[in-house]
Amino acid sequence: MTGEIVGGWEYVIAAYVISAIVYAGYAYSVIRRDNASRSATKETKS
Amino acid sequence: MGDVYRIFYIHVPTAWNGLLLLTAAFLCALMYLLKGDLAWDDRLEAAMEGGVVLSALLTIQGSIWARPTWGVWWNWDPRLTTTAILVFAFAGILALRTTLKEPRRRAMVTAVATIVAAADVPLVYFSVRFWNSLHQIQSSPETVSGAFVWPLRINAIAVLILMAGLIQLRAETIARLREAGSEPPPLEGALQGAGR
Repeated sequence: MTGEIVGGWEYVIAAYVISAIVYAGYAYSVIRRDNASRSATKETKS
Repeated sequence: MGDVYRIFYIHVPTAWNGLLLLTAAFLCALMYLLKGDLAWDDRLEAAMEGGVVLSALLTIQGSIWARPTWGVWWNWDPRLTTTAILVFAFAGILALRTTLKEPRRRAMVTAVATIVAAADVPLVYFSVRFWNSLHQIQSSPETVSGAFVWPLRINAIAVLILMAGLIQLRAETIARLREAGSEPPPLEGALQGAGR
């Protein structure tokens, strides 16, 4: 018993993949909502 | 620790930036109450939204970390519990905002609720010192191995730059939508307007 956790790569991969999805998803959501608001305000003005 | 220590490099920067964004939301709430400028409410919503996303992600990363290290996905440990309260409190405020249509009333209610909810931010940070916790003490250059310091700093700065850009963009979007709608005349200060 060394106290070292053997393996665990599947947890590392899961954590990084989920983090990438969340960061990319949030960035996409912010950009998409910004584009939608630009289009909506242009339509209102015209 | 084995290979799972690599989760540390994304978990800790997410935690630092999540708490930073919610602290920024708290400062925006104070500024709105002092200045009465709705631009502070726009920034508040943007910072809070980013803070909730990062805090929710933090909880998921923590759970993935907990399974191989503690043997459970979740434990009602003080750090985890105060973080869960943080996520639900600020997500609740964002949900509350959607029910309030009048911009000044929405900004006032949000500012007050944010100041109340922000009391949990230092509780999350210091929970590992206040109570006996399964969670290790706060990760800072003083408490982690020297080899961890620069990778952590680089990741934290990268997340900070990304989130700063997204929050700036989000605040501009919120302001544009607000200005396109009906906005009441500006007041000297929101606190003066609250009594009307």
